[in-house]
Amino acid sequence: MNVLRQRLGRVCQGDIYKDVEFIEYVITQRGSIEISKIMFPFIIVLTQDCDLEQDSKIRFKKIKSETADKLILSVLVAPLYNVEHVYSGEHLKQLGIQMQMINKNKTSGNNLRNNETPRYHYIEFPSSVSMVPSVIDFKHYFSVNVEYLRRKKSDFICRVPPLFREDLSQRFASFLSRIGLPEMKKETTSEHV
Amino acid sequence: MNNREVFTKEYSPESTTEAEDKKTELVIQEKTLLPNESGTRSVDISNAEKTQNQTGTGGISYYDKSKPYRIKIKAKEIKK
Repeated sequence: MNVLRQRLGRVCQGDIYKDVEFIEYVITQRGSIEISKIMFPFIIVLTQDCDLEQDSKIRFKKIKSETADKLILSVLVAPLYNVEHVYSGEHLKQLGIQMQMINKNKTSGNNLRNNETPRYHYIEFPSSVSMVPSVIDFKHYFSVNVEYLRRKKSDFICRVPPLFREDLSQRFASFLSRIGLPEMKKETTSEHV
Repeated sequence: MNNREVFTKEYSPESTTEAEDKKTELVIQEKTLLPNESGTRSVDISNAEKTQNQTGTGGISYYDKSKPYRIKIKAKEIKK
């Protein structure tokens, strides 16, 4: 997959940034404050691009409007993990979380790379981009402030191009909207009396 | 008043309305990086960053920046 190296003047769907913070919690008590945050090496923007474009126009007053209903409060993103770390289940080891191992030489590994596993999205980058083959974990999505992400211009890596980003967006939406059905009990004869 | 306004008012010296002698500042007491182990770890040194535990207990920790890691910051408001 070819990627786009030039950053547009706004945050776009499919943008990949490095070193993004996720605030776990903030506790304030009697003049003291405690902040816990997780630093993610790489994230990808999932918010729909039309929403990001409309927000940018209103936020920077490129269009005049009496209302600001197009403003968004935050941007949905998801982390990218090194696929080798995902195979070994150790990509969150430094957070004290052991993940399930995925055998890269068996069906589970093939399904992952073919994007047949609903939870994950696999991406390979061209040699011109210093990114290893990575996996997006849809279950670990989180939100970041729009202004915070916009200011991280120097941490912009690249952008997934159109069509590929729509594929990513569609798979993310499908994952979020999945329905877990309960297991059905086997019917017995007595239940029909 | 929402939570964001309260945070700004209480912890931003520029926005305080108190008298000069009552101004407060935020002093970082502790900034820890996890995992917090002493000694070296078998990680790829090209991705690791050496850092010192700033709580004063000493020890050198290494962490792999190619994986997510957690930072905790504790700060206390003191009067100048």
